[in-house]
Order: sequence, then C-alpha cells, then structure tokens
Amino acid sequence: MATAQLVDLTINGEEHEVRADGATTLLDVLRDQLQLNGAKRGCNQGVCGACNILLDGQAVRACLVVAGTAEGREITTIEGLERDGELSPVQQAFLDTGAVQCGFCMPGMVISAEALVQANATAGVEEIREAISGNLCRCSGYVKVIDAVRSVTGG
Amino acid sequence: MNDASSNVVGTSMPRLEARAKLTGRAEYTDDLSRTGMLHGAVLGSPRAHARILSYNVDAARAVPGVKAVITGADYPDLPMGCMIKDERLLAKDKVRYVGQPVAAVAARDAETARRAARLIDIEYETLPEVMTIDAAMADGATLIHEGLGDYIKIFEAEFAGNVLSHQLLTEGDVEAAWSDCDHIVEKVYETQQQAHAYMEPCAALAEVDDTGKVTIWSSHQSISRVQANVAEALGLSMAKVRAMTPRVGGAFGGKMEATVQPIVAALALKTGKPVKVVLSREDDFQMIRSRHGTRIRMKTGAKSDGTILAREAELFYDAGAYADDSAGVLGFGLLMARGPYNIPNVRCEGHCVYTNKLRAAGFRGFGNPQVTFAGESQMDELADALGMDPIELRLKNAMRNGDKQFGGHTVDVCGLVDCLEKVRDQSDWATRRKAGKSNGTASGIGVACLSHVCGLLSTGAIVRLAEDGSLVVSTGAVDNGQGSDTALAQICAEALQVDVSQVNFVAPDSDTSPYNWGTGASRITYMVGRAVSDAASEVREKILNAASMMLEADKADLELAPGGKVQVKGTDISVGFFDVSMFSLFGVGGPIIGQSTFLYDGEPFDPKRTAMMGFPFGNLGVYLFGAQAVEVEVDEVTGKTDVKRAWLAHDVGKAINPGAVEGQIQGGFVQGVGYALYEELVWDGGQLVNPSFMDYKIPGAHDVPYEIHPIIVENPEPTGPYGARGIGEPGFVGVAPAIANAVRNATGIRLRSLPLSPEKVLTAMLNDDGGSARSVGAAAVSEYATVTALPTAARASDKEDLPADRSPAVPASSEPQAAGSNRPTGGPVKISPFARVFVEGLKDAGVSIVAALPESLLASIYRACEADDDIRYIPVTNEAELPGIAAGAYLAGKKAVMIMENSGLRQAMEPIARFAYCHAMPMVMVMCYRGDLGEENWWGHNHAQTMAPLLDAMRIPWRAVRKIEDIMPSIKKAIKHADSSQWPVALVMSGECVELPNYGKD
Repeated sequence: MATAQLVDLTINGEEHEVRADGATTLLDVLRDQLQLNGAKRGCNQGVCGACNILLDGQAVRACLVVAGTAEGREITTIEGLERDGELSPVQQAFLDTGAVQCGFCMPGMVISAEALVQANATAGVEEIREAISGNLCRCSGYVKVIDAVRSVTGG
Repeated sequence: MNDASSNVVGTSMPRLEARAKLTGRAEYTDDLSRTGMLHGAVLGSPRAHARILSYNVDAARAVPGVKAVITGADYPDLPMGCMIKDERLLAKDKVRYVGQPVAAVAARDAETARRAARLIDIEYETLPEVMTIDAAMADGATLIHEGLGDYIKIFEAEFAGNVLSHQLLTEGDVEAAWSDCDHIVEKVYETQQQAHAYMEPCAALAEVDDTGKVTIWSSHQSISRVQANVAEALGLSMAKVRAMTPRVGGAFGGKMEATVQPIVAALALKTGKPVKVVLSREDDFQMIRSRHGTRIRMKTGAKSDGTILAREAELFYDAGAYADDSAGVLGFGLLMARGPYNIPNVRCEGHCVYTNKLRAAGFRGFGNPQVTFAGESQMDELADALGMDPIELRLKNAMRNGDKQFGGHTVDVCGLVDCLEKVRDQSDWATRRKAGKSNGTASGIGVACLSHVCGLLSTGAIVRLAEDGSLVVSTGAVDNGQGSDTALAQICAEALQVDVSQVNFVAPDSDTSPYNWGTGASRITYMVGRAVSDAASEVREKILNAASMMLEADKADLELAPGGKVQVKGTDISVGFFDVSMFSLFGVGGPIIGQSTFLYDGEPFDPKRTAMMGFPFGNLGVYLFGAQAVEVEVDEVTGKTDVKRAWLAHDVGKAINPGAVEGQIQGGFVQGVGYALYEELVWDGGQLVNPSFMDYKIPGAHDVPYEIHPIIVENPEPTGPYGARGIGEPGFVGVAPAIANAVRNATGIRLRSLPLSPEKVLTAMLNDDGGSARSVGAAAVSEYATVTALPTAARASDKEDLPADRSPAVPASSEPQAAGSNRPTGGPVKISPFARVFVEGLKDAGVSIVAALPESLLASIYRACEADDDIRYIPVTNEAELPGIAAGAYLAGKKAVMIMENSGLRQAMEPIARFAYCHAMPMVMVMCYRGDLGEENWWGHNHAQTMAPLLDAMRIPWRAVRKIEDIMPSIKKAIKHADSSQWPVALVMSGECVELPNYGKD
C-alpha cells in the first residue's frame, strides 16, 4: 500500500486537508474523512451515479476520481448547493414536483441536473434525459425528475 | 370520521423528509457512525453446494487491526427462517449457494476487514450442484436440504425431496369443463430471475450496551422482522434486541427478511464494540435474494362467444437455496393465476423447489407478475383464437362489483372495468391497435389486466396528544421511499383537523412502536392508515370528553374545528388542543392516548368453494385492480423493443397523496420494463455471471419513455382509511404481458419467455415463416405434460429454438413445417453421396445456416442442404447479402458457415472478412478455389496474391485444405477455433479437393 500524502482540497468553497494515497478516491475522502455523506456509494464502479459531484462545474463520479488529482480544482457536493439555508432552484423544483422517493440517487441526480442547468438554461426533454442518463433511479421511473428539471428550464 | 371537509388527504404535499434527502442531510445506514465503531466484512461461499470440512482463521486473526473473526462453527445450532426454519446465522456444516455467508470479520476499517476475510481458509468437499428446477425434481436428485422433514414450519407444508412446498387450489370441475369449450389454448411460459437492485446496498450497524442489549440500525423494510431474525439467530430474548431504521434507499422486497443484521449483531456481541457492515454492490447481488424464476404451464378454455369456462395452471417456482418466504410467493401466485375474471372452473397447482442458487423471495408483486405474464399473454392468445379484440374478451369476463375472487372472497367494489375502459379510451386503443411499419420499425400496442392484494397480517398505531396540543404518531411502518411517513401523517392530520406541521410522525423503533409485520404487500396505507385513523379517532373521542367537561356542554353538541380546536356546534365557543392537554395532564383524566391494533379481518377463504392444499395463508387482504396498455416500437433489424408510451389505470380507492401515488405507478412501470426487456440474472454453473450494474442492466432515463400516464381511479374501499387501498406493487404487475402483447401486435411474434431480449425477438423474426395465427385445437394439447407428470428434462431455452412461434397458416391436412426448413417443391432431389456426407458433417459440427449462391460450382452440396430439415439454407442472388445474413445468424446465436467460391471471391470475401473482423464474429469462411492455390485459376485470380495478405492484415487465421478427406475435420476444427476465440477463421480449399467426382453433373 502506497504511503498516504496530505492533499489540499477545496470543497464547497472551503479548504480541507485530507490524507490520500494513489488508491483513495474522492468519494472515500468525502465520506470517510470529511463526513460529507451526501454523495452515496451505490456501486463504487462508476455506473450508478449516486456519487456524482461537480468538478470545475462538470458532473463526475466521485468514486472514479483519484483524490489527489482534485487538488487545486473546484469541488461542489450536494451539501454546497444551498445558499443561506435556501435550496437552489433545482433542489426546490425536485421537492415541489414530488420527484424524491427513497432519495438515495437524489444527491447524484440533482448534481447532474445542476450541471445541465448551468450549461444550458433552457434544456428540453431530450437534453434532460441525456444529462441524467448516467444516474440510475430504481424508484421514480424518471418522469417526475424530468418534470422537475423542466420546471426550472421551461423546456 | 371527520367533522369538516377534507383539507390534507388528497393533496400532493411534498414528502416530509424530501428536503433532507435533497440536501444530503438525510441519514442512511452507512451515514451513521458510533464512537469506537469497527467495520465488518462478510465472506461468501465460493461453492454452490459443499460440505464444510474445516476452518483455519489464524491468518485472518493475525492481520493487524482485526478484532474478531467468526464462523458458523462458533455458534450453536439455532434455526431461523420466516416460514421454514432452514437457515442459520452463518453456514453450518454445508453451503448451498455461491455467496452464502460463511464467516465474518470485524476490524478497525473496512479494507482491513475485507483483506482479513480473504485470508480465512475453509476446506470444502464439493457436492453435486443442483442448478435447475428439472434437476432438483428429477428422480434420484441430490438433496439440498436433507433435513427438510425435520425443519420447523409455520404452516401445513406439503413437501418432498427438493420440493419445499407443493400446493393445490381448485374450484369447480376443470376436467369436465374442457369438453364444453370451443377453443382451448395451452402454452408454457418462462420468466427469469430478477435482482431487486435497490440503489442502497444492504447495510447494518449494531451496538451492544452494558446490559447485553443489542441496538441495530439497518436498511430494511421491517423493524419487527429485524428484531425477530436477530433474536432467533442468536438465541436472544427480544427484550435484548432493539431495531431501528434510518432512511432506507429502496427495498422492493429484498430487505424484508434478514440481510446482514444477525451477522453484524454477532460481531458487535463478540467485540463489545459497535460494528458496521455495508455490502459491496457485487456482494449484494450474490448474497441476498432475487425474484423467483419460473416455468408456468397455463391452459384456458372458452366458448366461441368468449365466455371463459376453465383455467388450469401448473407453476414451478425456483426458490434457490433457502426457503425464505417462497411458500408465500408460490401460494400468492397460485391465487392470482385465475386472473381478475369470472372463471368458474379453476385448478392451480404449484411446486416451489430448492436449487443451489441465490435464494428467491418476495419482490414487488410477490409471485403475481410471473403468473400474470402467463395469464395475460394467454388472454391475448385466446382472443386471437376467438377472433376477438383483446379488450373485448377481457371486458366479457372481467370481475365486477360483488363478484368473487378465486378463493371465495366477495369483492364489493371492483374497479377493473373502470380501469380497462379508461385505458382503452385514453390510449386511443383502436387506432394504435392497427399497428404499422415504417423505416425498419414495427409499432403496436398491448394491454394487460391485473389484480393484486393489499393488507395481510397485523399492525397497530399509537397517537398521543403532546403537552402543547400537537400530536405524536407512533407506528412500526418503515418508509422505504414510497412515501408512507407522509401519507400516514396526512391521515392523522385530517382525522384531527390539524395542519400536518402539528403532527410529529416518529421514526419506527421496536422499543416504542407497536408491532407491524412490515412494509410489503402494498399494505402500509391501507393497514397502518386504518390503524392511525382509528387511533386518532380514539384521541378525538377523549379530546371531546375533556372538552365537554371544560365547556360544560354535551359531547353531542361538540365537534372538532380546523386548527386544533373543539367547538360548540353553531357557536364561536371553543377550546384549543393545548388547553385540552393541560386539562387532562393537570386536571382530570391523565395523558390523552389513542391506540389501535388489528389483524386483517376481512372475509376468510371459503373451504366449501375452494379446496386448498398446502396453502400458507389464512386471510389476505383487500383486492386491487388495474389495467395497463403499452405502446412499443420493435426494430426489425436488431430485434430491440422500445417502449414509447404507457397508460396505467389503477383503482386506489382514494389517493391520500396523488403525487406519491403517481410516483409509485411510474416507478413500478419502469421496473416492469426492466423485467420485460432488459434484466436477467445469468448463471454459469453455480456462479452468478453478472453481479454488477455494468452487466445487469436496469432501466436508465434513455430506456424508458417520458410519456407515462398514471390514471388514478377512485372507487372508495369501504374498509380503507378515507377509502384508500394500496398501490406499491400493482404498477409492476401487468407490464411484462402488456409489452409481450404489444410486441405481438407490432410484429406478429408471440414470445413466452422473459426478458424479451433483442436476441429472442430477432431469432423469432428470423424463424418466422409468415402467415397468421390459427387456433390450437384439442389435438395439439397432447404434446404438453399432464398435470401430474414431472416437467421434461430440457428447458426450452437449452434447445436451439426458444419458446417463440408464429404458427403458419397451414391447412390442417399438411405436415407442419420444421422451423427454418425450405423444402423444395417437386419430386425427390438427387444428392451425391459426397454431398450427403458433407451436409451430415456440417450438422454434426453444429452448423444450422448455410448461405450461398445456388448457381455455383458446389450446387450439389447446396441442394443437399436445401433438402435437409435441420439446416436452414438461404439462397442469395448477390454476395453482398451475405454479411447481413451472417450478422443475423450471429445475433441469433447460430453458427454460420459461409461458403464462397472463385467467381465472386474477391468481391464477396473482402466485405465479409472485413465485417467479421470489425464485429469479432466467430464465423467460418470457406473459400473454394478451382485449381491449385498457388496457380492462377481460369478467372486470373491467384489466392496467394489476393486474399492471403488481406486475411493476414486482419489477423484472420486461415489454413489451406488440399484433400477431400480433410474437408470436414477442418471445418469442424475451424468452428471450434472460431467459437473459443470469438474470432473469424478462414479455410481455403484448393481445386483438388473441390474437384469432386461428378462435379456439377448431379
């Protein structure tokens, strides 16, 4: 096992010093060292999307990011979307539309939706489907998730 | 029930816990942490069936950071199991499936625990693996549970050998009824094992206090079942086991019985420290449970006018290695096998069988989806035979208010026809039914009806008036994500006319919650909703009692008013709940508490009407009805089925939270699309081949339509809270047959095996000989097994031909055509002896398709293929057709041998070689040259100059064949090589061996 190093990560605007070796993923760091448990470990293989976070504004799987490579980059997790206790428009839309069931996929799903809305403020149904196509949800059937994002984009 | 009009029941208010889930603050089991917590890992068996000979845990114990290593040998023999007590905390003496927990480790971190677990050395003596229903039921089959006879069973089980439950339900006289039928359809249907694939893997955290009491938090559907399983597995009193559930990330039935809780509790007791275990996704796939794979023979008979007289069903459910709740799944499947129709003569028999696989257990639908796939497919097949529209046939036989379910229950309110008509009208059924083709896709629509149940077993609720007049609701109901916390809070708020914010719905906790069997059987809204409503009514009565004293008024003159008040009717005089609480706590009476407790109390089964043998249920619940229509598009080149739209009508009585009801219908539908089209647990011997989301595909946003129409139908249930019934499962139940019926409408293909993968659809379309369906008369019935005989040895899918057919329109007098044969018309064909041997050799090598130009030098061989029933000979007019045929054959799992000759060699060979190379197709290309390989033939082609460099560049191995007697061995070897390397192979045959005697003169 390679020796761990100290790595500086900027998460939700805050500086954190964490330990990471060559195998430590960003998901490991978030959950095991920083108790930022919003990102979930659904498969740890990069398929389900429950661990999605924003890395420099792009939605990526935290379970596939080697923590050391995230140094100097802007990391946003689900915990960082609120502003002064106010939900982001995307979060509020998910709440109002009834898109949330068991909620386990939701942090990753919301992150994917946020990334889309930041890149394309008027995204339509097909673009929304594409954006969330990497987020598996076993409860909702995706309909109300798409409804929620449409209510933000007007698409 | 309430004094004023509804103000919160019937509104789609957001879930109470939605905000927490959306901010990442909601806690699931893996988000919990306790001081000094250790992490655990579970070791699964590498064998499907073996005796455990010895354990060596020294190496594991020696790993730094390891605090405990436990195996089955460390624990007494304490049987556990919900219906048949056939399991233990950890495997003892034997393992019965790959992945079965045999040992566990607790260590300072998860990685150390996993590493140590891999160092546990267990010696096994392999036993014969019994992997299929047929193998398990065969004479002399190896017994998986030798002690089955001695196991404690909580119901009157009929069992024998590897059959853990044999059940029979009958009504009327099915044998006599067949002779009154004008049309009979009898078919066999097969369904696959499906994984629950909830997004949160199984997890548990256990902690022990100084009195030896174990507290467990886990991802689960039932605190009562966790408590019972841990107590039973470890021999503890339930007074020493406390079970709680934090947020649960989906369950669908997979978390109804023990997952890892007993093991985690054992580790906590052993170490004296809190221990958490979170399964990896791979372990979750392999260790926990699945949906039953089944084989179902179903037979239905009707009169020409469409009146169905008889239904017979024979069910074989594959239970896997442990019984779990399989007997219940089989029983419920049998009960649902008649379908929601007034069929007077019914015989349903079932066998639930042990095999050395991951056990199967409850999963959304609980045995009903399988039997509904068979029944609703068969309804369409019957409609075909009768020349009736599928909806017309169903309407003719559908249950209506006051009709009786199979088993004798009277259904006072039956919304089936309502649902079916709404689905027919809203989907524009007649127009879409006309089907159509465009651009290589075929579109169609299919329908399915369903019935299900909600209710089952017992529950209770306690509602308390808090000191300030707000309310506390305590139940054992676990919210898996379906929204029960919110719906139950809405019911309480409605009953007492307060805002939902005044209702404190407390988390389930076995220390404080009344017993609740669990979140399953679509029962929480109905059962716990009733309990909450009744408990709230008791609180209401006590509030009115107190108020009547406080206001010195007759109770009859008082009513509740919105906002937590009691008012004198027709006046402004009122007193608030706060005052009432103060009065009772400090004045008269004591704390106001309301409670309800009940066991489902509907009509029992009627033994004078329905004979039941081995059936595990006493009473069930309220019946649910629905209808589903699905529109599909099938790609005619790839066989892929795209679901375009769905209309899903369900009679929920009263939607307590309409948004949540829609979400359950949509989610159930999408999970059903996965079941119908994509999902299948695949086994290689005893090993699960696809324990990963990469290889086990569940629907993503691209795989399902956006246009899913949930149609909420409300015919109130007289006994339900505000008229409500359940909805958790029904959304799933009819999807697979609706899709199979739609595929049939679109393509004319009837598939009776799930999932309807592109391979199956394409194979069926390739084997299709055209024509329309004909009714299966009584003569055809004899080809199927009789009710009492065991199933035949070979699964249909083991043979080349999958259970798909499209019966050609053939006059009754002619011979039925073998699949894929093109019998030439006219007199007998002269085939040279060599050609006959050649073709036998091809067949022997497993070749089933030969495509070639008929006017070629090897005409004799081609004629021999043409005349043979087992080889499908496809004549082509242009070599350019060959790659497409090869692709189709490959996708259908057939072996294709391409025979090509001189005349078009370069033109034909090159595109085929490139195609095979690009797709890594294991195809054998046989190239025949006139003349010797090195010399120029009469077309001026020299192989050495043209094809060899091309084959070499594509790394397609080739060998020259120069002697006649080498031809067949070379072809056989080449086929084997291509199969094993999954790569094309070429044989180049020189003119010497191709220049046959009487060449071209046959």
